[in-house]
Amino acid sequence: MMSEFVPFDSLWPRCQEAVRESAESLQRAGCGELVFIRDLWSRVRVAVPLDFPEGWSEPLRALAARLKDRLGPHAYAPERAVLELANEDLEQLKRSAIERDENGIKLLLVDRVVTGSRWSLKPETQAPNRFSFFAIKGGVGRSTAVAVLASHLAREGRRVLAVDLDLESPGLSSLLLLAEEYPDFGIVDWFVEDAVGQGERVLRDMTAPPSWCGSFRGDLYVAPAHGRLREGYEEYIEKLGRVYLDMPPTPDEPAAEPWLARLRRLVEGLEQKVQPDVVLIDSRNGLHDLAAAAVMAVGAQVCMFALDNQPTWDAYQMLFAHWVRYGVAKTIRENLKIVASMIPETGRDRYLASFRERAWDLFRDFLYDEVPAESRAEQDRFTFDLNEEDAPHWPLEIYWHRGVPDAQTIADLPKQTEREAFAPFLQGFEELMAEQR
Amino acid sequence: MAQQPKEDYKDAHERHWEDAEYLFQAERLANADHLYGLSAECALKAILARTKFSGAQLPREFRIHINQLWDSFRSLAEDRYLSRYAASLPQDNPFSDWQISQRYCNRNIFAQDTVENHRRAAELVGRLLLEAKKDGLL
Repeated sequence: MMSEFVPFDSLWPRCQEAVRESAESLQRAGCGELVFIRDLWSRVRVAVPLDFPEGWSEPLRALAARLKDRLGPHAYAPERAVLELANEDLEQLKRSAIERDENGIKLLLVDRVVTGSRWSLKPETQAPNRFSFFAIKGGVGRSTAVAVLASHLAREGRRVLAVDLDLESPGLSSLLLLAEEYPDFGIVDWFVEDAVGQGERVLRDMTAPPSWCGSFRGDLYVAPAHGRLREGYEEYIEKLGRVYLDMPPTPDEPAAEPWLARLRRLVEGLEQKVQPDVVLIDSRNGLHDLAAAAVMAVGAQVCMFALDNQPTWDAYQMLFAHWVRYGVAKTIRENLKIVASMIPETGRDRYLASFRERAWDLFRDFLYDEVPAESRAEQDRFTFDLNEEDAPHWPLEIYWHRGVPDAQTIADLPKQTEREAFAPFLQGFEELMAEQR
Repeated sequence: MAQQPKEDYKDAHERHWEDAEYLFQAERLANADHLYGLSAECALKAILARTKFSGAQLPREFRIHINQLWDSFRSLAEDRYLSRYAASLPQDNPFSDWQISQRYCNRNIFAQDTVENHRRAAELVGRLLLEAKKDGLL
């Protein structure tokens, strides 16, 4: 007989079913809360306190048998299905859990993952002058837009720090810096040298101003992914492979430092050195840990690039749904602004109308508060109408322009082209900045 | 010839730790110290045996004691999966002054603060094993 196929997405509901059937006996034994761990191999077991009461044994045994029954290959053998943990370890697990209620039993569901856990981080406290630029899919002109924005803001008199955090596919730096203008070091150098205590030395020489910005009223400093390519400086991939390293404890620092904390320290270090009015962080695209860091962990306002097509909206839907499951939606939604990029030359109004409609649907379904029909009290609710321009779903607009891809650097971009493609985006961004202050 | 007994690194880690604690409380420092070292060694070997060398005997370069294994473990970690464990180990090996041959030494050479250092380090490695357990590795 073929055994039943048990898909990943059915695991939590199946656990709930198993608990439902055990609920009465668990409650009778005084067990009102259970932690479930879905491990790296997506096998599920229950975690309980080391000194759990004797009375729990029988209901837990029954639950383990039910889990085996329902979860099939995703289950542990019943005798290994209950993991006993010290209270403090259990408490630590609970902090990353999502909650469900099943017949009066609180379920805390914990996922252990190799990558991607950063998408469920509680967003950092706001740093009002930091902005991250993220696209769920690549090739939408994100880096070009950031480069244009950086030079525009510097021209207008601001002191700008542009950080190329798209380490796996750097692009922002070469749009702003000529080859010989790069500083000696880049972000990957900081990560490897910081790991041996030489981060400060690298920080001194990892930003550079593009020469063509010399006549601007403000200043632009670029922190590139790598330094100036030269003989004896070519080991990029070797350094990139070490970026995501957590730092172990040292005699001076008894607590380990996760790499996200290191990234924050880097951004703060750069800010301290450059003293910018505004920081623009070009993020990696897609659901990558590095993008999660730029979106969730540096306290930035996030400009989310999108095209009006199904794959884009599907991907954002998966991300938003994750935020809702992990209870971070209500925090992160305050930081978001969508960007409609590469708006086609023809039929713009129709395109934008469709874009707004679909963006609104998505935000309403996942991130905006629901307003009951009879309620008029909208003051405290995070909710927006389709046509509210300051709403997160109302896009900043960037127009597709045949002249944009021709420019090797932003210095080559004719002013006329820049205006035609980017004027509404630049103006919209300035308004966004003003709102932050 | 007698058959090689089967390793159970996880259980070996636990019993060495438990007995080390027992001896430490009773101020039997010399043997407590010996067992803290063995306990940490077995914990790292338990992780190695399930990640890199599952099913087979550990290769010769890892059949070493904690004073050397600590550094080898850190050097070996390279993928994101194993490095999540290695990253919790401080770079300076706290067992660098521990040797298996100290079991032949006089009890007076085991200073309280050295043993406490080893105890803290063994506890840290034990916590690593707990993380591996939560991940489903053990």
